[in-house]
Amino acid sequence: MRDASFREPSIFRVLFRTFLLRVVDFDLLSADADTDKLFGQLAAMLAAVGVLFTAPLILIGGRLPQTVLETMEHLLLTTTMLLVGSFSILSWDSIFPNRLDLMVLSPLPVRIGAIFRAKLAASAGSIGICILALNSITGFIWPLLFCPEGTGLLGAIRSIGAYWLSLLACSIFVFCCILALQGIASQVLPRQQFLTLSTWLQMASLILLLGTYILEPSLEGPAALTDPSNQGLLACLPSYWFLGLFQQLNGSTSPAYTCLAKRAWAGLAIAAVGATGSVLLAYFRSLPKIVEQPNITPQAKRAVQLRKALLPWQSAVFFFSIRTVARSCQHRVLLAFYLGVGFAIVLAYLNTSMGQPHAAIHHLEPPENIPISFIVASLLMMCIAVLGARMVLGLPIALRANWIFRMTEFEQPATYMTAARRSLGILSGGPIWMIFALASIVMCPSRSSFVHIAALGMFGIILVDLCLWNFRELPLVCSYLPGKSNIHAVFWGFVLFVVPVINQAGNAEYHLLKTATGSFLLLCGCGICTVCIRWRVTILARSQEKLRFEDAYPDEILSLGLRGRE
Amino acid sequence: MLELRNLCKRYSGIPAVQDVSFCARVGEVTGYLGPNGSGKSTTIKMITGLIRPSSGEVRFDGQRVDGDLRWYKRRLGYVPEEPYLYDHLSGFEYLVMVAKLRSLLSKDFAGRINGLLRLFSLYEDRDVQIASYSKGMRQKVLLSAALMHNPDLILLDEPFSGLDVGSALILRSLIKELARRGKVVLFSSHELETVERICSHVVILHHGKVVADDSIERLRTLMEVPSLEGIFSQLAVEQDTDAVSREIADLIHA
Repeated sequence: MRDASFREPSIFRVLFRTFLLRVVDFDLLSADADTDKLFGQLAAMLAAVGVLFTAPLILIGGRLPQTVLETMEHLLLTTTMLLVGSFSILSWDSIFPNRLDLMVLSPLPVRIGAIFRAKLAASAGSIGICILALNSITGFIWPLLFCPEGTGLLGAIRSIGAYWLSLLACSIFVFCCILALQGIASQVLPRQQFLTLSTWLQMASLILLLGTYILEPSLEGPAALTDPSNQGLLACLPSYWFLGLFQQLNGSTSPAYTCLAKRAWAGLAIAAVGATGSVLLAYFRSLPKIVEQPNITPQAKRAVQLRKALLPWQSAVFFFSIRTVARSCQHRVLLAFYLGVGFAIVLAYLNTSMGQPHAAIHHLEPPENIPISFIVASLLMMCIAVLGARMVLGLPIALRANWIFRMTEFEQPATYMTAARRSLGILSGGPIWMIFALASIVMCPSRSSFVHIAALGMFGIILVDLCLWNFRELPLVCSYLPGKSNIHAVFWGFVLFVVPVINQAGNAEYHLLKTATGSFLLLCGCGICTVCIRWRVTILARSQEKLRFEDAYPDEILSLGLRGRE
Repeated sequence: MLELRNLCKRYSGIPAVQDVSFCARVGEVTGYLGPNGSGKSTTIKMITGLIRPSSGEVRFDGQRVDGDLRWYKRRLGYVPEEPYLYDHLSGFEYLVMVAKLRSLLSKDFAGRINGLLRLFSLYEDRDVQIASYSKGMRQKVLLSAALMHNPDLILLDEPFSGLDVGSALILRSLIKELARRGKVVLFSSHELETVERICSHVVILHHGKVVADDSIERLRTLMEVPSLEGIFSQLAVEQDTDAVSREIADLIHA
């Protein structure tokens, strides 16, 4: 007994390190995978957000009015809350030990408490790293401007301390809320139902989080905070509670902030108690169930089989893709994440300067014209959904089981492309197209709506085909090479390049839709693009000789072939 | 006939399989034996085309298999050593997927899959996800997937792993029956007793090299030992097993 207690800290350290690295599912990785690169890119992406928040400050020389400073205080806190929330939701399943953990660790003399603490510490640790990356610049520059005038160096130190304490408090609050939600759901629902509903709960939480971040009104400043008409709203928006907490810690004695700070402390205490209680309860009650029952969602009754339209091997690939995304929690959550981000970008677009002039124009237009903001939103959402589904289908499932696809590769890659195209279309473009088609018919049943629906459909087909450029990989079976996709570059490229381009395209479409000739030209243009890209993609796929199951770095010249393995 | 000619595989220059040559003939069950790490599974993966040999060639019916790998794979049925399957699919869905990947027509495979599931006592669980299957049930799915297209060459890597006694007896007879019906069967296992009962011809691998390639009868006569276990011990077991077991017991008692 004495030996075991002496070894407890080292067991904790070993488990912590193992669970921390488990943020990435190593079973899915290519032999060439460099996880450090992936972590580096993620950190760079988050740090770039900090640079973006700080760059205007450097440009204008740091002299900002009080209202802007208060808005910035709130923005920084709420961005951190969004990050913590998103990360907690995405790593939801790693908070509890999975079946493999228990199978491996149960026979060892490791206390359940040590596993629990290590799991929790690993989740918190990975979130902490993200918070540090995001606030590495903003966390030291902005607080210098937030300190009250005339307080000197001590005031600056106090401001930095208050800022980081507030960040810590709001992060713990969000993390605990999500833990509590998961813990309560796992207790209220039977395990299999919990596994089924878990993904939907994650999707709903993510959309709520992103929606709140984008849509919450600007209520900074004592006047707005003390306005009686805003009190109901303030009670529901925790980001303002922590703004109050920051102000209080920073030396403000305004009653508006004191009231909000009280809410922050109370909220933090309730969330912490709720999370601890429900998770502990769930932890000890769920362990036997995790061991006894498979860690997958139950299957529905036998699916209807598609016998027509696809050749047998295409049908096999198509149903494999659809079933995998439908049943794999990891893939569904990832798809939900991309859709949630898309939803957020669309909302942000509609709220920002890009969208507002369009909304103003719309009031002056005849009612049969489809709103320009609607056109741009539909194009953006289509773009994000298709790209997101492409990412999801690029993430393999049970990599070691893909030998069956290797053993049955009897056809050229081009013949499998139809199945990949349909999977991608059904998971992404199809639903988005249907939603916007329905909405446009309901909103404005006119010629312009129908032309837009047709153009949107063709845009979706073009995007799907572009995602299959140089097709060589079946969906969900090729190993994943982190870092190769350069997510930080893709993310910023999308925000800085694709969004403005789509905005311009939407603008052009809006003007073309005004006349019959313009509509005809639009459809002809889209049709020609669709046919040309389909032709090119098919030609490229036909030039490929074999399918690829192991993702690899493309440029042997750059790497000097040193990564090549026999 | 399956023929391996001077097959070699090196990983970063370290040889795993060296100059392996043997033939597996039609109507014969060829046993492929060797201690852990001797290169058995590597050879079998090279025969299936899952990994490329560093040198040497595999021929089936006189043709190099890498010349037309697709033609060859259509005629091949393979049961891998580890039962890696897609857990989120049901047994039935998995087999349908494999049948479609093999371009079998639905009118052909539906009956065949149901028949195989029934005969392997999996029919009741056919709509249950593979994640819930026991090791033996997974092995039966693998066997069904390997046999459903009536292959000419059957590669079995530890096919008895996890099977209950009844299923093992059925499989034992099935392997013999398949050979009788003109299939080439290559069977790798550590269960020497089973190999002795099923195989007419054995190949023993040690440190990546073939150390025996003959009929069991002839090897018994040549080496003057009564059983395959004796032959194997002489050729591929370097250690004094009793001494090692005593050392292990001493070590854990120390």
